[in-house]
This record gives sequence, structure tokens and C-alpha cells, in this order.
Amino acid sequence: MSTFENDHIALERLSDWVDGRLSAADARDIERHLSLCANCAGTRERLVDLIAEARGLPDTIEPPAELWTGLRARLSAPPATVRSSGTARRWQLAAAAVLLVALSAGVTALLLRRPSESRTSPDVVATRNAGSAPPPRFAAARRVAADYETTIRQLRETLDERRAQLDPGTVAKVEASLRVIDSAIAEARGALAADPANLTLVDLLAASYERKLELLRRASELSSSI
Amino acid sequence: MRLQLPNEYIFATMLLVVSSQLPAQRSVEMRRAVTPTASIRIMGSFADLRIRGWDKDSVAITGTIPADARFNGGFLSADKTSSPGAKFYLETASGVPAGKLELRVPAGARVWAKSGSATIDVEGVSGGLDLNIIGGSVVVRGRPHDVVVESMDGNVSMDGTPSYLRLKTATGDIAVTGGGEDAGLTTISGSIRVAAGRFERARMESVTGTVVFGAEIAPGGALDVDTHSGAIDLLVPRTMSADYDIATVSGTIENTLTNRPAVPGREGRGQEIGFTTGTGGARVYVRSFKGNVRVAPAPNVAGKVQIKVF
Repeated sequence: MSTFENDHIALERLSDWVDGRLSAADARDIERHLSLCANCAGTRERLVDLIAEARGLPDTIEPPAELWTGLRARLSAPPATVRSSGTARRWQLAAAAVLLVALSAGVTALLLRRPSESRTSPDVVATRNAGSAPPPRFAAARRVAADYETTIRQLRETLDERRAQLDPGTVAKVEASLRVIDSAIAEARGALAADPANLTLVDLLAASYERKLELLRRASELSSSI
Repeated sequence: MRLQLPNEYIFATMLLVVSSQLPAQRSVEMRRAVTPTASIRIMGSFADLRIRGWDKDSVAITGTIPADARFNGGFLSADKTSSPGAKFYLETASGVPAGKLELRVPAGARVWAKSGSATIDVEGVSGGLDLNIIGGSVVVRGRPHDVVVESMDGNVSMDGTPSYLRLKTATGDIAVTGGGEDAGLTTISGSIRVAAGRFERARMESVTGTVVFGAEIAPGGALDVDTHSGAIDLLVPRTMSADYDIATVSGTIENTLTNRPAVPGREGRGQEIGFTTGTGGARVYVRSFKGNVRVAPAPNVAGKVQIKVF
């Protein structure tokens, strides 16, 4: 998101910048604006002073900004339309999830179809609209799968590194929830391996992966300033 | 020979002992004029936070905190003009959440609060809320424009009609009453209960937690539900026009909303069902791996279902 040089920076955004919560690209936008706008620079100074007064409080432990650049964009974008209520993202994850299980031509062909096309029951009257979410291409799905695996691994490493700094009770809660999700993933993966054309399974497996990603993100953020 | 002490003496001694065991407290009070849409941030080890929107362009934070706690922060403008925002920090010596604060803000303010384990109670804010806790609970009442709450095992309750609602827990329960334009409710093993109200779009997701939807989807709207093993109950008004698409991989589907029975799913496993009520239009899309799904008419007046909300 760019910052227009003729507009002042929204306080929330400036505060996020001061807190180091912006991506490198967004931070550069803010810094460029601050170099030109005395008003915003003044606000920045006051914010910095305010934080200086709170010296000695727990240090923030934010995951590396670059880790979040793509992830946040995928996870936090509010749905714009009825159909897109997480569906496009879910489909990317669905593609990634199924690629994690088996990369076969048959599965790929199914991935390129909409879920409603795979239904066998003539009674089903799903009204899913094909126009709002273009089917993922195989290469794109492969990239998402790789990106997803990498992100999960990095988040897990981040959490493991900070384990000692976290409240043991919180760690226990996170680990317990991760076990629940991993169990669900294992079950869905097993079923999908036996029935790779089952798009309901693909969707559910993707949902479980999404839960795991989200939990790891939240666990990292909870640890950052409490 | 036993020593007889007067009751008053015994009571005074007990009072002294008890009071000496209570941590010393000190009061907090900060007030300042702010803009109607000021951005207010509060974070740290508070245990109890009441946020109240009021019809004044000012912020007042009052309460009591442990005597050895550090309370810092302040308002953003150095001069006497209305401040566009404020930040407050509370740090207790032990790191254990303590202190009871009341934060009064202009109704249109945006409030961001973050604590480890806390009880947060919000009412009367029409701006935005972004609340983050690990344990404890969050209760929001009213019509905030947007609400985002994240917790690990803290319960979250929303009673009102926000335009944008996102509630996320790991093991905490989620309860919603009132409706809204766009709701996203996510948990891993907590329960999700939506009782009454009308939603334009609602998405509810859990891994093992149960999901109960006892509200209504607006014409042209959408309801998406998925669980891995959590049971799903849809208790909807008979008058609601919608297209239903429900499938489980190994769970069962019980439909008493219409006469159409569920049919076996792929390879004879699980069940699936599709049907339309009224003229259709709204979309109800439900998926579960092994959770059982029940679709039934709302037991009371259209759109009103009695579901106990914690």
C-alpha cells in the first residue's frame, strides 16, 4: 500500500510504522513521506517520544517483516464480495494442499475444475459462481504449495526459537491446538491419498492447513509484545 | 487458664493480617480532549479492562493498578488541541496481569487493546475494535463498525451488529448474537454459536469444535461452514430462501427442514444433500470430514433461536 505524498499518513499507519509492523516496502513509503512532510514528521516525533517514555517495557518480538509480506496479504485481506469470502484464498490453499499429497495429472486436472463440477448428485443445487475466482493454474498451484511449506516451516522455527521467552502455559495451549490440527491434517491426507479426486477432502484439508498457518501466525504475534 | 480476648480485638487483628497480604494499589487517572475518531492503543499486563464509548470528544482512563506497576503513555499532540490518538502501557513487576482499568473514548474512536490474560468488556463504541488476548474473555456489545478479536483460550462474545466481524480463538468459545454484514468466526476446538440476527455473509470454521448457526442469511447472502470433526447444527427459519449444498466425508446429515433425505456420498461414504428453500438465492455451503450435520427449522419465531450464550 503506497502513501500519497500530498496526504498525511493515517495515525494508525504511522503507529504501525513506529512499532515496526509494516513491510519493508510500506516502511519505505512512509519514510519517503516523512522526509517531505513536516506535519507527519512532527507526529512521528511525538510518537517516538511517547514510546521512549515507556522504555523498559518488554521488547517486542516480531517475526521478520519479509516473512509476513506475502502471508499477511493472503491471510488478512477482508472479502470483497459474497463469493470471494475466503474462497479464492481457499482455492490457492486447496491447490497447495492437494499438491502436498500427490502430484498427479488426474489431480491436477481436477484442480483446474470448480468443485461444483465434480459433484455427482444431480440434486445438489450449489450456485457457486465460476466468474469470481479463476481456476488456479498448475504452475501457480505448485508455487503456492512451495510457498506454503516454506512459510509453515519458518513460522514453526520462529515459534521454537522463542519458546523460552513465552509463558509455558501459552506454549502448552499452542502445542495442544497444533496437535489437534495435525491430527485432522493427517486424517484428511490419509483419506485423500485413498481418494485423490474427492474435492470435498481437498477443501477440508486446505482448511486445516489454513488453521495451522493462522495459529502459528497468532502464536508468533502473541509472543511479540505480551 | 485460657486468655479471653475481646471480639473486637480479634476482628481488628484479622483485618490487619488480611490487608497486609493484599498488594498495595494506586490509582490511575488521565484525561484529555481527543478527536472524535481518535486512535487509542492500550497494551500490557492489565487484568480487567472496561472500554466505554461516550458522547464526548475526550478520553479518560481511570482505575487501580499495583503500586509497583509501571503505567506509561499519553496523548499524541503536545499542545492543547484535541489529540488524534493515545497510547498506554501497563507493566506489572511480576509480569502477571493485574489492575483494573476503565477506558472511556469517543464513540467513534478506534481502540486497539492487547494483553496476556484479561477480561475485556466493551460497550458503546461505534468505531473500530482490535482486541487481542491469550486467556480471559472478551465481551463486546453495541454496533462497532468493525471488530477483530483474537484469543487463544479466552471466550469471545459479540452482541450487536458490526459491519465487519472477525473472531478467532484456539480453544475459546465464540458466541454471537445480532447479525451483521460480514462475519468470520474461526476456532480450533472451541464452540461457535450464532444465535439470532441476520447476516449478509458469514463464515464459520472449526477443527473439532461444534458449530451452531441459529440465525438468518439475507437474500443473496452466503453462509460457509466447515469443520473436521465438529458437529454442525443449522437451525434456520423455514421462510429463509436459500440454496443448500452440504456434504460430509464420513459423517451423517440429518435434514428436517425439508423432506429431502441425504444421499450417500462418494464411494458410499459420508453423505451429501442439496436442496432449495423458497425461491433460493442465499447460498449455504457446508462441509465436514466426520462431523455430523443437522439442518432443522428454527424452533421459535423466524430468525430467533434460543441458544444459551455464555
